Amino acid sequence: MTVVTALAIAVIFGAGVHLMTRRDVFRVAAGTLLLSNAAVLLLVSSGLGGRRPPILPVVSVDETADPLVQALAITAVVIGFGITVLLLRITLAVERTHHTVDIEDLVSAEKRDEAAVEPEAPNEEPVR
Amino acid sequence: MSPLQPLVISWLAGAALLMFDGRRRVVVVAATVVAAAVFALDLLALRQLAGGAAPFEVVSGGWPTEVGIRLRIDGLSAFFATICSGVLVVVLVHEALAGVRFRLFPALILLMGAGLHGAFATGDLFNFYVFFELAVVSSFALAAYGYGRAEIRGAFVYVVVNLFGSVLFLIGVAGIYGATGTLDFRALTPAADAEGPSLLLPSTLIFVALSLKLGLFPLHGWVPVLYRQARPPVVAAMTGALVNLGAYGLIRMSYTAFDGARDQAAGVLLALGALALLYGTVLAVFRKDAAELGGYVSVGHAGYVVLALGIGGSAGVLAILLVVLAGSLDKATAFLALDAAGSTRRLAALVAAASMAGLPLTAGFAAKAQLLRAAADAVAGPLVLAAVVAGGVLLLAAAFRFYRLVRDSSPRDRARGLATGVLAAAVVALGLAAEPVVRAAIVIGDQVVRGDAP
Repeated sequence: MTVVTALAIAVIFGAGVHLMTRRDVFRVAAGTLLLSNAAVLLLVSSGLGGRRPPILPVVSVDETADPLVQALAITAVVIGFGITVLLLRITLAVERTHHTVDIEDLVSAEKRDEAAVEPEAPNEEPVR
Repeated sequence: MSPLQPLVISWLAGAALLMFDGRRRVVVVAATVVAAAVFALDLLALRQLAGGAAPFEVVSGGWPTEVGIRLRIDGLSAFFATICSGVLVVVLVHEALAGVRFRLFPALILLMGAGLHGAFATGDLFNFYVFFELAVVSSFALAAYGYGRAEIRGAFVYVVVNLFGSVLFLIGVAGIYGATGTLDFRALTPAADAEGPSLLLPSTLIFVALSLKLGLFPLHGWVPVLYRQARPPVVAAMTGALVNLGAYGLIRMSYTAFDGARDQAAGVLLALGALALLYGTVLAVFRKDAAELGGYVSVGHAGYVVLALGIGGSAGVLAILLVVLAGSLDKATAFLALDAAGSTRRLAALVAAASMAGLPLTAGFAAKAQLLRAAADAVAGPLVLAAVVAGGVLLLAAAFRFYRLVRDSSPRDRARGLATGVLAAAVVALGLAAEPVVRAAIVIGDQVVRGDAP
């Protein structure tokens, strides 16, 4: 069980890192999501401790796994969910304002914006 | 006085104001009044605690201390809370005068304040993470404020990088809980000593996560990007309030949970701090954009914090407290100056630059003096001193350049200088009458190093 959990965490984490190195902003967002889920799974596993059942069947308090980490994990899941929604919204805004999902294109857009702003900055009239 | 007051007030008010359109004058004014009340409560608590009062402590729901959520305000918490709520009030006033253009702005600033107060008050690693996220999520939404192309790009980088930091923090928390079975700062101190090497990886992960939020050198990439792209008042709130969470977390955990680890890692902390200081200030000198320059100055400031943490002892902690105080105020002034016009713009930029450089008559002077004094007594004294002096000289050049860049440019959209002027006046006032503040910081620094307040 420990090995399976460890492998699952490793695979999810690895997939997340792989996606984060892609050029597509939606893949980067998905990779971030996977990473946070790997962390939650790790949190749950830190309280599993050997072969004791996580919740069911309820035998006695001493024979189930630590319930505290599960409370922590559900909190982390909720936080992760909220942030994911926000991140996806921002990613969508990136796509809508730049009409591209490629990070390289975003970098060149940044350079263009910079070049467009710089020469006129000193002549700009103060706006009141 | 209950430790919950500032936290609950800003949380409830923030949640309630989410329902109203923040662009309406009455909503902004209500938010500003709440923020000012929270600031007053913090100031009151700080006065009592620095005067030697016992820390305020409360455990939620009457649970035993190890089970319930423990909130505890000691001098260190009150010191950080006061700085942050002060900066947030000024930012709110600034936006109220200029006219809010984002309906959630006042509510998000209050919620950021709630998250900060919670993180400063909690005595538990996981709750620190939860409150941390509350504050950071508010700043995610604020980073995109304006919804221009640049703001969105900056926000994307900021969210992805900070989310990665949160993941590292959570992994560290899981590792520590798995090894010791507790997450309480005070219960961790003996447990961490007993566990020793098995905590090396989790505690390093937590250090890396906090450094990432602070913007320490190898993990600083998001700082200049965000500072250049986000709106100046938003950056002022981040650099003046939110970034302090990283500094607070480093002090708090170094002197409770990871007391032994800090001593062993002192050399690493000194090297990382010196490197960040020199890197940030060297790059700041060559910037062409005032906001980006401010970002690199902030990276240099993170270097000061970690360097002082490496020096350690009461002198080191005192140096961190003064650096955080001066840095928060002068960086916030600098960014608000970017949004002001006319003589206020020039004057505020001048004050901010002088304080960044640590010139006399500004808040930065006391911080720089204490840093030099602490460095002189440090283990590798001459080397540390050389780094601090070199960083100081570079910072002087960067500050001068910042002033010239601001003077020769004009605000991006609109301008009202009153709040900027007030903050600049506070920087000067802290420089002129530094004594009571320094005395309070000395008391708090001693409390932190001794391990427990009276």
